Amino acid sequence: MLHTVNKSPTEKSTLMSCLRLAAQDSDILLIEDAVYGAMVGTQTESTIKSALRRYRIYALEPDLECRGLSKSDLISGVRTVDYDGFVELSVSNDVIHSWL
Amino acid sequence: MSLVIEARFVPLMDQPKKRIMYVNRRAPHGTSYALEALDVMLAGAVFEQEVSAVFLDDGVYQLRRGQNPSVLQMKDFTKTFGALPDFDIMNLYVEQESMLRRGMTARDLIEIPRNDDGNAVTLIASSALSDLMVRQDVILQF
Repeated sequence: MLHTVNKSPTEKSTLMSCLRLAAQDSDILLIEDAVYGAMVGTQTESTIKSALRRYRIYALEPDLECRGLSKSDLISGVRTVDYDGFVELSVSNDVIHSWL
Repeated sequence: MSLVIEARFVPLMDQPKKRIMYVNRRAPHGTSYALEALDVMLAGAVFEQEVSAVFLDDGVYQLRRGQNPSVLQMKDFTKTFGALPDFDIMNLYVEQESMLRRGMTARDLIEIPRNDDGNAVTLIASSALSDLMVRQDVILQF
């Protein structure tokens, strides 16, 4: 299953709920303000790091660039995808859960 | 018996200075709060008053260096922050604790030069910010 999350983890509990409920081996794609959750040094970093053992976590490149974040700002293990990668994830998963 | 109510208009310039604070707590691009707050700060520019802008919680992301909203075909309003000193908003305070929780340091923030060669963007500790808030006449939060 693909989960997309679009809210900042320091503004809403959406990302934490997604990480609590997503089944093992899910793809989790961070888009819009959720890309802040992929940054190193934040108060949610340890949760993301342990989640990386259960899930593949991606951040959307244009949303990173928009917010002044580069790959060196990201937690290691978080992958990045462009729009083509987003489409790829969408078609390779039967079910998409868009967390709002 | 007659009651006379005297209405007096006191020009703004003859009134004591008002302290006005804009508080920004939202990340810049996911919603329109930041853009609209900036519009209010510019449109409502009141000269000869003491106006400041504060950035805390996810609001600190608004002043992050290197933003490029044009990749999403959005207007790059973050460049407009540089105009705030021209509108008499001389201080943009960024709460230190909010930065720390987001793994950010002063180096991650844009600089906004002022006429006095200072940087309008300054970090402020929660306790100092709390004191500053108590001294305001008007606080508007976005």
